[in-house]
Amino acid sequence: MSLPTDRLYQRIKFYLSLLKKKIIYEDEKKFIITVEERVNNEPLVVTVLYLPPVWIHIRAKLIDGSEMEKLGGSRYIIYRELLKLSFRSAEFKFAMDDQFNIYITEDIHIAALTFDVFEEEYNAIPAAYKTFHETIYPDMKALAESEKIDLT
Amino acid sequence: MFGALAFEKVGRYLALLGKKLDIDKEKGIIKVHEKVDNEETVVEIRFTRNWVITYVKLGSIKELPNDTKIKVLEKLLLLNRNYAEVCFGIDEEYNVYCEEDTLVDALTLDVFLEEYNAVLIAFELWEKEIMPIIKKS
Repeated sequence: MSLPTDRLYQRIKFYLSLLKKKIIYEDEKKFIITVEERVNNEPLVVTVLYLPPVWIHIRAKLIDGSEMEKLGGSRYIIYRELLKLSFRSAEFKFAMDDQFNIYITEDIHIAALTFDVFEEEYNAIPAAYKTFHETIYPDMKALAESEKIDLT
Repeated sequence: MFGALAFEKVGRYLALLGKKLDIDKEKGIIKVHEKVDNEETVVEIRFTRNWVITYVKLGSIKELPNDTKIKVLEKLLLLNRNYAEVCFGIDEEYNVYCEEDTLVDALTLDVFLEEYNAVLIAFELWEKEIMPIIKKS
């Protein structure tokens, strides 16, 4: 027997409260919760969405599409490094939308939704953000500087 | 030491599912022979203390021209976005993989099957979405 959607949503909220997360927005009808994290003293917005019937999706924007577009053809270096990092690290998954926005994403099947799994998957988001900023972002910055591109 | 309990559990699940297996108990690796749309592939499963790692090697993009490489990498990231269950990655040698990681604490047949099927979906996506880009180059 599967849980009703509102109970799953409440369960996610409960897990976030146990983790003492700062919820800055929620839409109970659309099953969206937005959390503010701080990584290396910088704010990071993490969105937790329940996508009925079976997925809980957690994501944070890593790079704005406009920044990627500024890099032109050189952006493939960023794609390559993100996909390498994804392969090397269990639970780091990077994705891109049609506007070139890059996200860190995690998906949990509802059959696997326990507190331990949720915590593990959720924590992968700030961890991936931190790893990106420590390992790939300096190269991205250097690349932009060498091509005289002004990244914000 | 690899997760011995998870290794036994996954071996049993795969046997129940009637899969054709090569089991290497020494190395803690299970290889599953699969056929997707008449194409043969091998799914490998490795075990660490905390993770069950299910993956399939899809192919290499090392020798492709740079503009094709860019298109492939871009498409892999787009597919990662469009398919919740799929996670593409590449190694240092430009081999492309789909890898799914299951936390040992979450290891049930239903969860494992979801992750396992994701690598088969990735194989299909590779054939349908990526191979046409490669063939054009």
